[in-house]
Amino acid sequence: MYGRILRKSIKVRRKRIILAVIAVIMGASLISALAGVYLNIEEKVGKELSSYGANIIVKPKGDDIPLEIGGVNYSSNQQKNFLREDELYKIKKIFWKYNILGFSPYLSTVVKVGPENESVVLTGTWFDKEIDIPDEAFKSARVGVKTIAPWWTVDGEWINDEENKPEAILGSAVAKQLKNKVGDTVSINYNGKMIELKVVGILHTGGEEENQIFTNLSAVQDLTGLQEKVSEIKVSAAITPEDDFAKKDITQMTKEEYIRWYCTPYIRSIALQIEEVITDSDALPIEQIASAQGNFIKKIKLMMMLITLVAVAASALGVMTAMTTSILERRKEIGVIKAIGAQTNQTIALFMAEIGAIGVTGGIIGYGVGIGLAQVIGNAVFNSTVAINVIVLPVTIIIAIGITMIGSMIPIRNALKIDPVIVLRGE
Amino acid sequence: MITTMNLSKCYNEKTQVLDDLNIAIKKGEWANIMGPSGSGKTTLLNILSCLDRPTDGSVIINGTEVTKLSQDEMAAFRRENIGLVFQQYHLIPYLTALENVMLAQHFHSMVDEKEAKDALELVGLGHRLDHIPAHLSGGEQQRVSIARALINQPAIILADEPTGNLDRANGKIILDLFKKLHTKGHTIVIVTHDPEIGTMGDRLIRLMDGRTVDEKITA
Repeated sequence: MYGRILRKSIKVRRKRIILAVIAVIMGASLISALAGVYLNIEEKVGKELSSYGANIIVKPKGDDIPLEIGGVNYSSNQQKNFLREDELYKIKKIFWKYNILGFSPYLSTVVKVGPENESVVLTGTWFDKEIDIPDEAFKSARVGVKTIAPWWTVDGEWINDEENKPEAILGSAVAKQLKNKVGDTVSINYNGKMIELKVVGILHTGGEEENQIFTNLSAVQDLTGLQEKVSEIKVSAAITPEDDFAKKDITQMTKEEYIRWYCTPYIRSIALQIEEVITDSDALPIEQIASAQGNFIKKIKLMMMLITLVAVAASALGVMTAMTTSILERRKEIGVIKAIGAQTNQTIALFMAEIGAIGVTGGIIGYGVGIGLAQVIGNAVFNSTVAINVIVLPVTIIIAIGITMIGSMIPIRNALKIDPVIVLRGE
Repeated sequence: MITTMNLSKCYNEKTQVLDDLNIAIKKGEWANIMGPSGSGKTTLLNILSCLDRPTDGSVIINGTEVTKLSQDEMAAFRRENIGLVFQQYHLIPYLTALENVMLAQHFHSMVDEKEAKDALELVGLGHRLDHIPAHLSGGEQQRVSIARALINQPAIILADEPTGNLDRANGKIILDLFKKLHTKGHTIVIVTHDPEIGTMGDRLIRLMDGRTVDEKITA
């Protein structure tokens, strides 16, 4: 019988019901869109924040603290332990592989350059390289300094990783010191071993890299005789903000706590996972960058929650307006059903059926609209699409029903107060 | 069956609608209540219907002091014992005649479409089951209202000006239905301005300023 009443009641009052459904759709679509973006925010914002640079630095275990003066690493030549180049791909195979936004290996050494035999750090690295990742759906990954330091700019050209030519990019300070420009050749002297590199670009970073010379990783490996070796890896990872649990000593954790910690993209859990796949390595989080990223994500999430709350409140107000009008129109009907014996719970059940129908309809349509809205937000803000997550659908429907219930609470309370004696005599 | 004791109803200090009213209506009796406007007829009927409460005094129906019941208990008592017929019919406008009758079944217990059809057959509307109130005449709407009042087999039928909005022919049909119900043993109380109805039934109670001024046996 409720079904018949509901169907017919909705049919005759379709304008009011449509208004209520639209109010729910507005709230539900915003919730659906923001929930979709929220679930992708770490990856999206992480990518945006990769301009902060790497947030994990991987060094060989037991490696000494580097001795750096004016950006020149004087301990490079004495380094005893190295990481293996053939293991680098494994960084994209860890539990949080999708959170690894980029990485780049480095092998640095101090060389003599120019007519005055100036000491300069020569760094071999990958610039923009596609590597194979076996047994993964994504098959390959783009890595290199461009993936972790997108703010670097080069006058001239970047070195092509695939061509393996004897080329160099000079830091702008080195180029100024050596009076070199693009197209010149620079002579490198490493313990009496000489190579010549053609200058293809001048690097501007605003940092210590401007005091270095960059070339292919393999060129430095050949020069130093350290084939397949790298001295450090810088990794840019999308992380979740650290809370008190993240900072807990893992040796003091229970098994369940450890699993929870390991399966959360905290900077330390990602660093540990990298240590697990790179032999004899220490993966050290760069605290300043990690905490800046974490705080930024935390603030964005807080802002999204506040927007969602405002959307829910506005939507509930819309529903309340529509339901109040609807109940005013139905005063006589409510009086009649009370007069023919409907008890409080039966009267409430009549409205609950309607609320459920409005909430579910508004929730489903709102979810669909929200998916579209999330894509608009994704494209406008992050320049990429937002992945659809099915968990958002039931969440949106539940919240939509909640919105309708909150919005209907006061009108229903008023409906229950309707005195049949008064409405039936036409007042 | 129905007894009121020292029944009073005041809406404020100045408006006393019922004043120390004592009436008793026996089981199976048809009592008509007449009186000028403002004499308290409808207020009395509302209190007997468990829709309203008196300011003082008590009402005992079928051995239950209904004035002591909670709002929900009054609703439950009403749907078990009382069938209401209104002057304005008060049907749900978007439900058919059949559904309006079934609605009373729904709030009482279980919906039984055949029983609801039978009730409409009884009031001569077997051919109008799927019509909405707007497509029925006033007399037909009142007959649907009577079918709705009867569907849960109440012992008591309370009617407020049941023919007040009807022409003579339709009024006669309705009164014939009440006669039929009376012969079946229902206790009937009708509030009316119509002197013709006043001559029907078993007893006429005249009210004036909330008090009984005259009571006579009409049967």
